Amino acid sequence: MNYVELLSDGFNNHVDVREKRPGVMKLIVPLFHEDGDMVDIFLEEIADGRVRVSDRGLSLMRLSYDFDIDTENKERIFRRILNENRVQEDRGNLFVDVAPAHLYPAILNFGQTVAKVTNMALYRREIIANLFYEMLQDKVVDRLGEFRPKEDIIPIPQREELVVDYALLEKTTTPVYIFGIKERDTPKLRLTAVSCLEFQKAKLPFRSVVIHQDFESLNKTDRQIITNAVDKQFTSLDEFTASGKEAIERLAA
Amino acid sequence: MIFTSLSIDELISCEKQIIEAPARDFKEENRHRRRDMRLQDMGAEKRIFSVFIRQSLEFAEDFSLGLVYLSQDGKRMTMIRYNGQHDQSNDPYDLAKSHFQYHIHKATAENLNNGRYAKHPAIATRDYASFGEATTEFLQTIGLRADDISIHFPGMDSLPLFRNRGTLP
Repeated sequence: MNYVELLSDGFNNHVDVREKRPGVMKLIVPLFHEDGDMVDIFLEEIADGRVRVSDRGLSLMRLSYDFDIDTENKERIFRRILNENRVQEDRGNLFVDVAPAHLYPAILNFGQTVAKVTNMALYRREIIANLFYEMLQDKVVDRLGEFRPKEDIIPIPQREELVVDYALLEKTTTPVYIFGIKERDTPKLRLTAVSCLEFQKAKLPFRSVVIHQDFESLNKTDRQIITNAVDKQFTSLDEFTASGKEAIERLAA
Repeated sequence: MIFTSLSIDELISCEKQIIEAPARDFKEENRHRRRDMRLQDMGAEKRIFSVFIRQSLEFAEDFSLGLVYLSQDGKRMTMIRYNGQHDQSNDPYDLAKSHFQYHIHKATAENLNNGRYAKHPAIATRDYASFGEATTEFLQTIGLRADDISIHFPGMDSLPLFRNRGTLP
């Protein structure tokens, strides 16, 4: 049996193939994304007699509709998904090379891997607390996009260690400096407090805003330090989402 | 907010202007090309939307143009997506009805009211038959200001004279 016949046998004849391009077969198989789009799986014979199962880059294109792998953390998660499922990647093309006899389990595994990759946006929002800073970036862009927030600003050039996460310099009478602080991140909290006090000492005109992942996770000393150093705090990302824009508009007026 | 089909249609079609312009040229990455932009509706509410445009570099017929509503409470809701040709099923549980047509995914009130914001069912369409036609149709459907279309999407501001419209069975 050739590899298509082997595969069809494995799927109890519930599969088909269509020649998408010369030598590249599109697998028609009942594996669907949540919106009814079929999972893109292509088959092609390679030189050593094995079959390459691939997506020709369409899974990452799909992911990019609402999620970009644009940070080290996201890249690490993406690579881990591929590695644990023994799937390789070449310039966006996800693939696995298998012997024809192993096509059936390989395609089931490949379909699962594609589902994990194309749903990475769920990991961002609901599962991985370590992505707080990425989530914060999304929120700042979403809620404060009209102010054209600038990232990683150094207000005092000779003090490179004092970095502002986001600065609102446009459409504001007074610049607004925004800092994110992850839960229990004492070093970041104290650096933020020092930064704001140094900016005040340098008589810079600004208003400072801190967005906490979880203010309640901080100990009493840290809560006092940050409260005494900054102008406005949001106790969680949800608080910022709910009222951040209006509060910042008042601060910046 | 409770969504209805009327409120969904209004979100999709309300007149919008560009507040973050798309790059002049497509950016290529991971075997596809992309452009993104951010829009604001021109009514009093000044709601914010983002638009993504993607096209496979290998399969030109495989593309997606989407309008995403960025709600005040921080949710991203995909309202409508104009897709190219790839295998698709209106009902993934009905194996007999998969098709290979241009198709449009549109948010439903049931999906949005139940917290399903990104993935919506599709219907096959005759409204376009190429990436260019889909772009023209999409930009008009989402209410983008004519001036913005002519500046950022030159040549995409008029639809073909003769064409079939409507959904496919």
